[in-house]
Amino acid sequence: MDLSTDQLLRIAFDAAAADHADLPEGLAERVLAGALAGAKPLRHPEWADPEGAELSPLSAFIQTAAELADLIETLAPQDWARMTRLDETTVRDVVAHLVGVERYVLGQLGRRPDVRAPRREDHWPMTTRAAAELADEPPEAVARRWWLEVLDVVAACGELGPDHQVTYHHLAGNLRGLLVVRTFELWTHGDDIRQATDQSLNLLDDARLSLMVNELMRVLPLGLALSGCPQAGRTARLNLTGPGGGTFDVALAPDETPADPDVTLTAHAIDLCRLASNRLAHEDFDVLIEGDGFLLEPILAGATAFAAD
Amino acid sequence: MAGVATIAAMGAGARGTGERQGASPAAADRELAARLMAGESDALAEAYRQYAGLVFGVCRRVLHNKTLAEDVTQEVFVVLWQHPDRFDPARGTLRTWLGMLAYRRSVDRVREEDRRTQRETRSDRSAPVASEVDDRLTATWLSSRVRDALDLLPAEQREAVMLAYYGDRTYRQVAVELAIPEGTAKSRVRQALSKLDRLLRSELTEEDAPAWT
Repeated sequence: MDLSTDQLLRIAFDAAAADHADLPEGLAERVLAGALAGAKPLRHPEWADPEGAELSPLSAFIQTAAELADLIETLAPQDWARMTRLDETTVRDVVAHLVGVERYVLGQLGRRPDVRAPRREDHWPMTTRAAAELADEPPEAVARRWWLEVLDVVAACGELGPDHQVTYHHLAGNLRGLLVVRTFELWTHGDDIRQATDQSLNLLDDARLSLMVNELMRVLPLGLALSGCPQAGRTARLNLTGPGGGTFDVALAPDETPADPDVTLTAHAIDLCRLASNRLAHEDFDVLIEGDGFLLEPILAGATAFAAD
Repeated sequence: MAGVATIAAMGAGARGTGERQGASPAAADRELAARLMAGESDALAEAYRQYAGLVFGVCRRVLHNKTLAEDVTQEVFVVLWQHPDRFDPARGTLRTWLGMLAYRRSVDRVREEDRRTQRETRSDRSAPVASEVDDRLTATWLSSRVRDALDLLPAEQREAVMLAYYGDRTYRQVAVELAIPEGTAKSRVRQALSKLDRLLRSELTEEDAPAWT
């Protein structure tokens, strides 16, 4: 049994600290007040996590980024060259792509030079410059670069607050929605890497899946319009099972109010998320259809209308 | 939805009913660093709860002065709050990073105090000013001293402490692996840490280390 440097140092520090378990009275207040008195901006109060098991989109993004970073850190050197399920894309390409995405987001937040990418189709090409800059860097440097960009994104979002307006490619919205989308993206690319390295896919938890499913249900009418198949006056009920699940009545065209459902679809929430991220083919989507089956394909097309890679 | 191109405002969120899967220790460190980066003061309070004992203990061990140890403890947490991006999880845990930070800052403080005393007493103008923290005080050096000290422990204590730290095992897990009661496992680890503390103090004194003792 050979202990690592880190483990040995932990022993040393724990040994040194063992006799000083009782902290001086008032030290906590002094330490916290001293730190918080600095110029660093505090997190916007509206980012606080809701009561109960719910998460704010900022927390969901942080958790998902931390998990992905942890996954990347555990990769063996040869894993970086493995091909993913994306066309001609290695694990390394995916991580470098994410560096470019973080830089794009920082540009949209005014924290870096702007990266022009006004169309959904610009999503992957806009990151080729970052990938080229990192081409000669060792994997650990690429991983570190991505993590530092994530921290910059987190710092900017924390300060600006959830209602800050921002444009992501061709659609305008706020940071609350953006971070749900980014959570979706990091989870999906994490699974790209897990699949490439023969690891189990990340099933996520109820809190994050709920955020993602709610966002997907909210934008589904817009997705139908973007995919060219809005169904005016029609409503679908989606019974989504498993973590993140629930029952949602959705109007199948923008700016309409849901009415009595014309069709009811029952499926696993996580499957719908994978379909929406273009990682599950329509024909592989396991769904129970009750009512007007003609509406299935338009709904699935609407759900996948936002996937950019 | 990789690269999903929609970010319109969220509607009313669904009620969550599940529990988040437990993060690995490394992911938990990253999460805490990111929350600090976002300016979440609760994250700083959480870091204090988790690591103040360690930081203050190391400072107190090096400085042998409660007031100075409190000052350096505050410095360490200010650094953590202001620059959580300096922590590189690929190089070790947050616990070790903070321990090293406390150690180095304390050594620096000892040297500052020495220089100040020398200036005030003017007792020996020719005495060389202590150099910057040298290589012996790097993590590699310190860890090698720990490894040596471990070899000086009784076998049963060494086994218990190595098992506990090798895989972040709980006392219960150590007890199961060694087929001993949990209380005995806890006692062996504590005795080992206490002895290591004394051994490391002694070792560092013999090496004429500038601080720690």
